[in-house]
Amino acid sequence: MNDPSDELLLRLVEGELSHDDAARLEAQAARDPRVRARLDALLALRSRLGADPDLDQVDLLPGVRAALRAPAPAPARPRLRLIAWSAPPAVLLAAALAFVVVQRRGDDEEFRAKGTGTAASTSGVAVFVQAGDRLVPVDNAVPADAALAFSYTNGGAEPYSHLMIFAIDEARRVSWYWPPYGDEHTDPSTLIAVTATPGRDVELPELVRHALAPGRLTVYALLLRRAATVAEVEGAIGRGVEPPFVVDADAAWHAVPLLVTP
Amino acid sequence: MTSGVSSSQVPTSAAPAEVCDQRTDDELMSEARAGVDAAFDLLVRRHQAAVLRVAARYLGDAELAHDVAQTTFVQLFGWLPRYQPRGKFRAFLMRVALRQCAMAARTRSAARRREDAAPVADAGATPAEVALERERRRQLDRALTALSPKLRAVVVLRHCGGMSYDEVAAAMDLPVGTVKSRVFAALAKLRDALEGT
Repeated sequence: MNDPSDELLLRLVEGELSHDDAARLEAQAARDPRVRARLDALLALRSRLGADPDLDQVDLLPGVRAALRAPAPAPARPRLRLIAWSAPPAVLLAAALAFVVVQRRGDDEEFRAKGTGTAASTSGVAVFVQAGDRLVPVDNAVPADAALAFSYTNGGAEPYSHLMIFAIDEARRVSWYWPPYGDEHTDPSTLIAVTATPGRDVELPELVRHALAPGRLTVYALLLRRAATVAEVEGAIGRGVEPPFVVDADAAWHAVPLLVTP
Repeated sequence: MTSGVSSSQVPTSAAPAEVCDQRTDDELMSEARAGVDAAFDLLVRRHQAAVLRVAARYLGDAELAHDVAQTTFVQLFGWLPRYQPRGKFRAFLMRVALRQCAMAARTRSAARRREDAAPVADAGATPAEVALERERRRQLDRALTALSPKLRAVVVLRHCGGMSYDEVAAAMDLPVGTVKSRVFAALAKLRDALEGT
């Protein structure tokens, strides 16, 4: 009898063979030590993946409860206010302009500016730039090596489940902020939108720096009801489609225009 | 009909009384939303082992995985008012966990802490057995981190998280057929990598 293929053994281990086929293969393994060894290697691998004595004894609950009892970290909104109030009026105005909030996009709607982050706004994004050891709301202009951070609002009766943040420059180059995508060897079809947490002014925890090209740059935040992939967005941009394009019929797009200075 | 050596039986770390609780995850989420702390606690204990294993194998770092798993459940608590019970709790939870993993992998300031962490010793194991098991796990982690993210994610959800193909497909927003082919590919690559060590 021929040696069974790798795929056949994998299907057996995964429980994907019919009863009869599985029995035939098991019988062959019982007769042929080489087949038995191949099968055992896969079974051992599966077993090792499925158990970790170190981890299986861990009880996370005390830590989770402690974290939930701990005073909530200073919410983003007061922090933004503190920074804004300590800033000169021009920065205050710029911060307000940078907090662009648009309504949910209908089938044939373009961007519709709704306001500047009022209490009634259900979604929005704010962009910050690193200035020394603190973050400040972006002014109209950002340096080419700016490290950017973001917060977003995801409220309403049905908050969105996913989020993407990226920027497009004048040459239609795309810089990804969320999800992270800087490794050219990564397949963009495997990179999905990050999970969006419901709430107001939810901070994304990291600064992200790209080498930006001087000129106009638009930062887009896209709130979605599904985990769209980077490849979907880049595909649309590559075809020359201008945002907001249809990634999710119920998506909310937010745009923050910036000028990158050398 | 399918058969064979068949599906993963992944242990949970829940205490026996908690294992026997018949309430579904969605029912517990509803109770937790109504303020029943014990319901949320039961959810944590029911799923913590799977979340920890997924995070540990995805990141190759048990210490970091602990932080990620804890944050995953804190995030889950934040979702209570908004959670829609659709019978896909585990897929939802693992999405949150993978998201946390991706964020942790990006910063990974605590990289390789696991190298210095002493494993929990099996009471009956000799020091040589403990060392061997530790080395095997390192090899497995190295093989996993060498996989592409798309293969790694499906195989850890399937075999470390103990999820069905349907659940993995729901968590990853992928067709079931794609999940199966990726799991097969991942297992074959892992086996080849481990045989070469």
